[in-house]
Amino acid sequence: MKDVSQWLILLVLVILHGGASAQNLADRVVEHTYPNGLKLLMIERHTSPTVAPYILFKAGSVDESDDARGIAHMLEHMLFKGTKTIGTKDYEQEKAVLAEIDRIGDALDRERAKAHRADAEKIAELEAELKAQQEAAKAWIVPGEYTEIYTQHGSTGFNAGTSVDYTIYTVALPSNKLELWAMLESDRLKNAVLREFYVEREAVKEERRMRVDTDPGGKLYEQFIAAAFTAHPYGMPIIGWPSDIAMLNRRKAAEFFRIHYAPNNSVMVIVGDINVEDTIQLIDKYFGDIPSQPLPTEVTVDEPPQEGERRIEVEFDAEPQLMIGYHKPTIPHFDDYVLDMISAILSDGRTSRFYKNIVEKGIAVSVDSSNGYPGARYDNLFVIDASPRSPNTTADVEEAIYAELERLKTEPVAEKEFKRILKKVDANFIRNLSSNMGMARRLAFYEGIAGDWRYILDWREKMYQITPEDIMKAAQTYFTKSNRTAATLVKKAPEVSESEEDTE
Amino acid sequence: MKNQSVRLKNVKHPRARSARACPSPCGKYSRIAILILLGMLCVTLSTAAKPHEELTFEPIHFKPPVPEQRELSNGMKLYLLEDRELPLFNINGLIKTGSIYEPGDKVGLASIFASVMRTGGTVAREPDALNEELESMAASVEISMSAEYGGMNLSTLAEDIEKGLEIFADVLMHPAFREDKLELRKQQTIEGIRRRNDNPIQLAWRNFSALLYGKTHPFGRYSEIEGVESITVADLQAFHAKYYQPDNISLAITGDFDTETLIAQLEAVFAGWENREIEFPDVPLVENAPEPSVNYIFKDLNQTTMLIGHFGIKRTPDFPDYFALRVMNEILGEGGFTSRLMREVREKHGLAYMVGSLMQTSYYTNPGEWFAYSQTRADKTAEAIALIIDIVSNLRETPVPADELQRTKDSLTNSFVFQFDSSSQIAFQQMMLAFRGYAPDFLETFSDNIAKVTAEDVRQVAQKYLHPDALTIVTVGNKDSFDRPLSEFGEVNEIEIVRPEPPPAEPMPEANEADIAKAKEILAAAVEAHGGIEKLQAVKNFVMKRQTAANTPNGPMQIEEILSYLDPDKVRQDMNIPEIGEMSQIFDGESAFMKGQMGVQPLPPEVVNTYRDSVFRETIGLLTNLTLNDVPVQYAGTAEVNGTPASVILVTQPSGEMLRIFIGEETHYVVKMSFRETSQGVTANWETLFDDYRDVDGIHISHHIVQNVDGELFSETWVNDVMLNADVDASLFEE
Repeated sequence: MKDVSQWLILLVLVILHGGASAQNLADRVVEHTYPNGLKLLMIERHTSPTVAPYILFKAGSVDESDDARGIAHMLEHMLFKGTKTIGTKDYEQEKAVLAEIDRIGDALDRERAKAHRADAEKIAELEAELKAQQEAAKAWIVPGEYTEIYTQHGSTGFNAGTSVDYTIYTVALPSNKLELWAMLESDRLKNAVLREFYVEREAVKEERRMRVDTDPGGKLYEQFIAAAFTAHPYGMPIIGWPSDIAMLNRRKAAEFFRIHYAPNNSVMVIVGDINVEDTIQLIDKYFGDIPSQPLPTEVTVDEPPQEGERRIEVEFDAEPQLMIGYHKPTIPHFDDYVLDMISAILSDGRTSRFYKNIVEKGIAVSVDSSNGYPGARYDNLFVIDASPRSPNTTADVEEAIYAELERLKTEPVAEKEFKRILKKVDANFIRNLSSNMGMARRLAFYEGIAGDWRYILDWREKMYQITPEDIMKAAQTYFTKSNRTAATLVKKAPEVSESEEDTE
Repeated sequence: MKNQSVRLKNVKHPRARSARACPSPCGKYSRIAILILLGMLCVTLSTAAKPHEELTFEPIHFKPPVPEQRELSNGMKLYLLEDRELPLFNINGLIKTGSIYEPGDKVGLASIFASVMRTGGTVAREPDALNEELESMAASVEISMSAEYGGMNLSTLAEDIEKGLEIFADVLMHPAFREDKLELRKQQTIEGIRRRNDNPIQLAWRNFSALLYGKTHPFGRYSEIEGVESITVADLQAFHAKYYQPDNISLAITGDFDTETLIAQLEAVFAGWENREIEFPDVPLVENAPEPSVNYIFKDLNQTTMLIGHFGIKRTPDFPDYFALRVMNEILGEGGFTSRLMREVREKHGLAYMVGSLMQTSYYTNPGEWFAYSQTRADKTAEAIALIIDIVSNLRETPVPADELQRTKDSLTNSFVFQFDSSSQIAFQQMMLAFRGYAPDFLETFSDNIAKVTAEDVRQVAQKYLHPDALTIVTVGNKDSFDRPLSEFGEVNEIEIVRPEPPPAEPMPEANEADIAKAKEILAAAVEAHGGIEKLQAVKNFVMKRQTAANTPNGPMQIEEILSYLDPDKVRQDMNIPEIGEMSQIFDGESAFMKGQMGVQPLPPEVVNTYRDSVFRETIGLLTNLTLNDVPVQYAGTAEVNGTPASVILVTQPSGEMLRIFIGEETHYVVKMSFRETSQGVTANWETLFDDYRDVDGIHISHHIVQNVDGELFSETWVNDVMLNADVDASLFEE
């Protein structure tokens, strides 16, 4: 394990006009792969004594099995609950109580799942038992200790996030605390204890209510994505449906953790006030002994080609909103790059077509486009979302959007428009380097999802290769009615009985 | 770049829906602090040593760079920090102004002002040209507004500093506030008002502030459609003239530049910008806290959004309780995952995903607010409120345990280095501290001052500033599903939410056949009196020379005008206006635009609609249209016009607004039209009176037209010459 590190400074030879910034990035990224498959990327920046370590696991909601939807996200919450030494006064004693809680919780979930056939008395009994055991566990639990240590040592941005494709763990620390981070992070990978599960499950239910049930945009998105994907798990909500969450338990979380949280299934990025050689040693010391393991199989379901427009309404007590999606291939298909360019043409800045021709014309208050929803590991969607400006309706906005998409199919994009976008591409290269956390996120994402962080460099190069014909061709290929899913948020109409309708 | 659709699932705080409602990052400037040395941390916990406790940490010796303070000859204050790591250049500016200074009957003016200051272009730069110029060098200039100050930002690559500065100064000094961009922004604001009840957090916050400060106070009021509609270009110009001057502005400048060169460049671009005395309007200081109240807003949701709080404290530069309060807030609800609210309500009871508290101490004119917030399932609403109140009360009564206090203080001093994470943050912070009048050694002494805070200090400030017996509670949700009635917290005040709507178009009354027949009969007589349908129908275009005296918002004006009309829907006005010069307004049936010395400018959609209506009302075309086409008309009785009786005919205009046509009973001429119109954001009642009918090639045309708006004389027009079927070229109506 303690082999001589084979780290090297990468000199990527990208010969590009105006590519100095890309070169600059390429020069600064230091890459190291450990024998257990863990990939470490680093950028030294000594502008302030802070550091942003970042871990990505290529394990998201698409990797869940049907009986554990929502577990990737639930596990992410549970990994803040501590380890065998942190968050507990005596794990050996605590362990017995945790097993008891699991047993009762399982029985309770099974009984509740019977819905109207459930035995209310039995439920009440089990609830009382669970409560008693949860009280008993409190004798051993030190609540919140794991997060407390980070906080006390001056962390900011201590957080985590789950997407369809992956899960990330982030924090920023004073740079002298990097070893603390390495110790705490490796401890939760080796010794995580998923305690306080059922209480946290309630917090997750509140999260779902907050993000979906009470948020018109969240509700629309969930239904939209579910309509767009019929077979592929991209159509499932990351957080899970309410009945999914209700059946999550510690066993399922531990199983997901065991399969997916492997060093060879993760990317670690550290940007900030570090010394790369010391850091390589440090990471080896704490993470080097985590064994590599066979990787889980990728999702094999292919979303079948869409054969006809899908159109749904979502009722909510809110003003109208609209989402439109078109299926298209993901990274590294050339059209994916072309659609990135199209997205910039449509909605990037005040010179963009949507802004000038829809927002400034007063048809909508906002229209945005983005390429690559809900994830990028598998073929995904080009998505347009808009809020109409009264008295315009979602139908008026759709018409205006489709007019712009038609234009893309028939009119070559002017050179001026290309130039402006390419200039922004180059400027963003430099701007992205100015934030430790932002850079860490980018490197981790592309290393984890595109398979190589150099995708960032390649992406820039591809942007320069795109021709007006490429744009027209991609627009013609993907922006078709039969490839489209459109979802609108509408107010619930007063119920009209069938017979009344008939007389009209 | 590729969209990374991560949904952070473990966030501490809700997404900010409204700048002021954001419970977290807004507190940034109230918790500024400094330190330079992060010492070794000695942790003493009662339990056996855990592995992380055996780690030792090298102290950090870090002296943050200090921005250089300079002043331009015009009084503009600069905080400069060179940073050559990347070829970037940034200016973040502050100006003393804010929405607290906008008039009470035009709430929303300041934020609309800020938006149009940028989108409306400059005197020399059309909006499109400005956008084009900035984006083609991947640069941005933005103007922003908050309650107590305004912001301005320039971001460019280092190679474009010179051009960037020139544009930045142009926007600051010579914004043009073009009418169509104002109109656009007003309509967007109105759409925002229509959407403001969609989100429960926004709904709760708006009502919470209004309850606390009262609906007329600058911190309690909010925009309404009527006030937004009344905002004019002149209002924006006045706001600019009053506050935007160099000695009222500070700039934090960072990036790859040379200080001396830059100062010379700044002197040059801001040359000639003069200062005047600014009289800041009085902002009423709220003295008395409102009576405690429990408020309920119905929204049919399965989760209740709750805000529980009262006034905060007014931040003064030498506020002695600042540090104890800072520690107390951290312990209570600002400390993220480790705060008591988070730990109890979420981690122990599973009653929320998002819970915490925030004390706003950043207001310099008023006390700000303290509030706790939570979003909790409906059937645990009362339980959560009671628990939150309990946690607050406990902080007043019981001293904070030593280890919790120490952890909190450590967290504040250890994370202090993040106040210096980037050069732009360092320079901006320095500027903000000066702007707010903080003690010059505030940053240097922060860590020492935090270290001095004792458990007793925390208990004392809790008693002084937290008042669980004087709470304003706002809940948004569905009480049918609540666990217990809210009345256990006090008498419940139910707030009715009225959906804001602009006044709807006046509906046509129910038609009966007799009225329809009568209307047709009267119209037929009018057609005869005006020259007969054949002659009217034969008019395909005309040119009129006219003279108008108008009472505009900018005073009386004499306008010479040539009006060209091309059947069926094109119209062009070529005007000569004293002191302004020649200007043309054209409507081509689809869109409207203005041509003048500044080139061609499109007119906003609302103007297009009013043009559509006005073309519809053109007398010759109207009579022809009503005779030949199946346009629904109705008779609606009689009325007097200038002392003589007239029949009233109703017809709907293209906009949906109703038009009343008054036809003289003796002359059968159209003597008057009245209608409602929304123009430049204002809905007004218009009356047009026609007389002095003269024969032109067999057609009778009015040569004297008077227009009244809301009963006041607006304009009087004399027609000097009319040419029917003249040689009118269609190209006249093109851009």
